[in-house]
Amino acid sequence: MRTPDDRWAELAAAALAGELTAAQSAEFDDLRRADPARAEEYASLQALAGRLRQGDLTWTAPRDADDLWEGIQGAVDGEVSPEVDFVPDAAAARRRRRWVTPLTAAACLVVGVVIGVSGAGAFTSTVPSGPPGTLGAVEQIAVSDDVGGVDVSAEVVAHTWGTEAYLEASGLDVGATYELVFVGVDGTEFSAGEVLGSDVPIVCRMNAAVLRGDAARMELRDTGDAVIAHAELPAV
Amino acid sequence: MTGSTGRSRERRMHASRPRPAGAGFDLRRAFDDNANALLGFAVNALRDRPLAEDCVQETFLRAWRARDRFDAQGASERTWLFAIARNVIVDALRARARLPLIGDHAELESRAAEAIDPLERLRMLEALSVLTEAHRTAVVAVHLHGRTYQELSDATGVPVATWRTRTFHALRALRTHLEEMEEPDAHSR
Repeated sequence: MRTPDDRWAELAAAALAGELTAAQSAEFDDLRRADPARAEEYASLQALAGRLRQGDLTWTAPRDADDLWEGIQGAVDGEVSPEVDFVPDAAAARRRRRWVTPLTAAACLVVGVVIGVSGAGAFTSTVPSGPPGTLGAVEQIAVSDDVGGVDVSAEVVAHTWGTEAYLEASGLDVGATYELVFVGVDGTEFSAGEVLGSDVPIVCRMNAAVLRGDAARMELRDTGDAVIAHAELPAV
Repeated sequence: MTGSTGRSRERRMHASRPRPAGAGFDLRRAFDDNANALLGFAVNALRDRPLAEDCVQETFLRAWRARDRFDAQGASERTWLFAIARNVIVDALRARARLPLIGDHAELESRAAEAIDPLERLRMLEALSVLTEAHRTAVVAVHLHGRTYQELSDATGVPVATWRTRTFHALRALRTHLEEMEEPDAHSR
């Protein structure tokens, strides 16, 4: 059963969104005139709605934080970090992310499950652009599929602390483990982590401790080290 | 946060074993109660998921190191953790601002035009992060993404009137969180 307070809430929300009909608007005005407290409340919420509309404010729902616990517990148990101002330098990032690699699969999204109002473009709305190697810019790369039935596409992003890959893959054997590897210009290999094959397309962000300028090739390999898909990376 | 599985219970028991100091601060419970909200805050403030995860870890590490100074009679544990997280995120934003920003001219101009007071942006994101999921979904959909209530109703099957009352109460909660944040951060460091 809807109460007068429910009606007030409904009308105020509609007013804040600019959705009142003429009849609703008259009813809403009557309620505000009859109760100064409600008028005051509406004014404060109107100001709040204005603050929400400012600038580039947006919201993307992150995945569950549960994966972070093991790293926190490990750091606390070892007390490895000196108490200094936090700067996300590469060494610290490597130390703290050591536990992330085996959990990369858990960080992957299964396409088709992500729904709703989370604003999928939020992470790209202020990303820089530029030629390959531009810090923070998303670089399209041409991926060749080396196994029939597999469809892999990827983008890479140069960071100060390494190279990030946005991997999309379908057709991988369900439950099988695949490793994403960056090969340096001198042949050195840098793992960006592992993923599990799924019967639906997977989307992953993976990171390798090699600077984009030092990476020449990206390979997705199966557990037998056979290359499933690869991409030559333009020289930077 | 996932449900209380056998594995999570096991981890909780391990994590809750006696610590040499700061017995009033249970790291595992604090993590369970606040990690998702802190990660939401960090991810949206930084728009860099790996860096946001680092910041959440750093927040809990700093809290652990400062556990003897946490006064449970004063600010709530959530308020205390968010105050720490705010400092960590500001440090990360400052560090990132010192890095060379390479982008084309139009991109940089666009950024400048979109920019709002960074602290105001952090305040709003922090307040959003502590809303319930249902409240945040309503506010984000209508007031950040500009969706109409009819669109939400069509997409979810939930009546327009329900979405409207939910959004109204969400805005009330958001306003309360913002007012609380204006109080001094007695426990931040």
